[in-house]
Amino acid sequence: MKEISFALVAGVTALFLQTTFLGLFFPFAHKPDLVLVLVVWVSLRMTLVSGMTFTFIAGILMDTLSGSPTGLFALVYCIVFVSCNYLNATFEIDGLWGRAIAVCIASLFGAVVVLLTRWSGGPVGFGFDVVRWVLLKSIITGLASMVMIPLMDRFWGGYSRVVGLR
Amino acid sequence: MPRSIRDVAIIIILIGGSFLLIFSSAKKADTGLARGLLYSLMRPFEQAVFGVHREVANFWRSYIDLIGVQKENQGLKEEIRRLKRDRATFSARESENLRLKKLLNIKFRYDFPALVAQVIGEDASGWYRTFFINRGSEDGVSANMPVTAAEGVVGRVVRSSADMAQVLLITDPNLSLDCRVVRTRDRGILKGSLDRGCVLRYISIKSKVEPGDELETSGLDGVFPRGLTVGRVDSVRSGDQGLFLEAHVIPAANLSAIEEVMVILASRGGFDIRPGLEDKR
Repeated sequence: MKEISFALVAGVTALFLQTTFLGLFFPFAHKPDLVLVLVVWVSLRMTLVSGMTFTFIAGILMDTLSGSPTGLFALVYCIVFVSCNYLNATFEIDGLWGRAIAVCIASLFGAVVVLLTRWSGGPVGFGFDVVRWVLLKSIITGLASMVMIPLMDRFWGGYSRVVGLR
Repeated sequence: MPRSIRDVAIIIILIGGSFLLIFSSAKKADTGLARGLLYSLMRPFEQAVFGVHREVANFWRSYIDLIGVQKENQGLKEEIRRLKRDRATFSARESENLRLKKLLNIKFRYDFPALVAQVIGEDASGWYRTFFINRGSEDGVSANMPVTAAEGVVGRVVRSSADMAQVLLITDPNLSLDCRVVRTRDRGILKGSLDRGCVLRYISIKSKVEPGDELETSGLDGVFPRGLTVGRVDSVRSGDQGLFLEAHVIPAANLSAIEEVMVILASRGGFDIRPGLEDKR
């Protein structure tokens, strides 16, 4: 419960930033997905039960605060969580670049799912601009993880000491 | 001579001498030799002391003045800061005033029941084109209500809570609206494009639509009232099947910099398409 509480506070903060301040520093369509970064971080640091619970709630919150159909981001984030958890257990991706690449690929995966749902709903023009947009946004999210994950580790260390987590 | 008598004698002599000097000097205008000599001896020292005193006094006065100037300087800087802040506030208010006036003009022009709302947040994911406004169901805002700005159509409400609502922009592919080219009167369906702007589809192949043509809502979709400015045609091309034309449209409203919008309070599907509305304009 203590783990989930910490992650939820971080998640709500990330969502708040994404709907307000991030727009001041990044173009609307290219702002990094901080919640996705958080999901990857959670998959590397928390237990499966706590991590998945948080991931699902974060996905639902993201669905509420974006134009997506309810459940889409909950699904995408859960798949990202399980994949990263498995990859880390198998290939040890928990390094600066490993995490950034994982976040970038997770963002690309999210984009593909979003575009597929759009495409299934009606005619949507996929051009060079869309490819550039998706790539740029994913790279920015990956780069953001290089700052955010070490920061989260620091907060997590402090929080663990205060509340007495292992 | 005993010591006590000597002491008393000295006291009497000095006091008496003082009296004598007092009464004798009162009648003389000149300084006298002794006094002159004393003055001559004293003058350089006094001059020096006075000079030092003057310098110290000047220095002190300058220091005090400097403190005063510093304080004054700080005061002036503070005042400049305050004035700058006031100017920024006034400028922001003036700009807001102008924007609200424009919205008010639209309201008067079309005579719709409408509500002005402020944009308070944007889509969290960035994969969709939506934003949040500070009006909700408590203000009468509900899903599918059209949202417009002074420049043109913005989108429609998709979700609404008690005091907040989510607006889907016309640049999102999930939103479609029935539009008409103002010059040629041709109809088409406008949808958001992931690439950029919007695309007007299903324009008659015989249409003479061309870049620069203005678009307005037709009112036939049951959501948007007729006659609202939508945007301008940027380019025209033949559709995929060759049966229709497609036009790339640039929205009239600058959707990335929008701050206030107007929600047209109308129930879903029951919007009054007023005949003769264009005459009112």
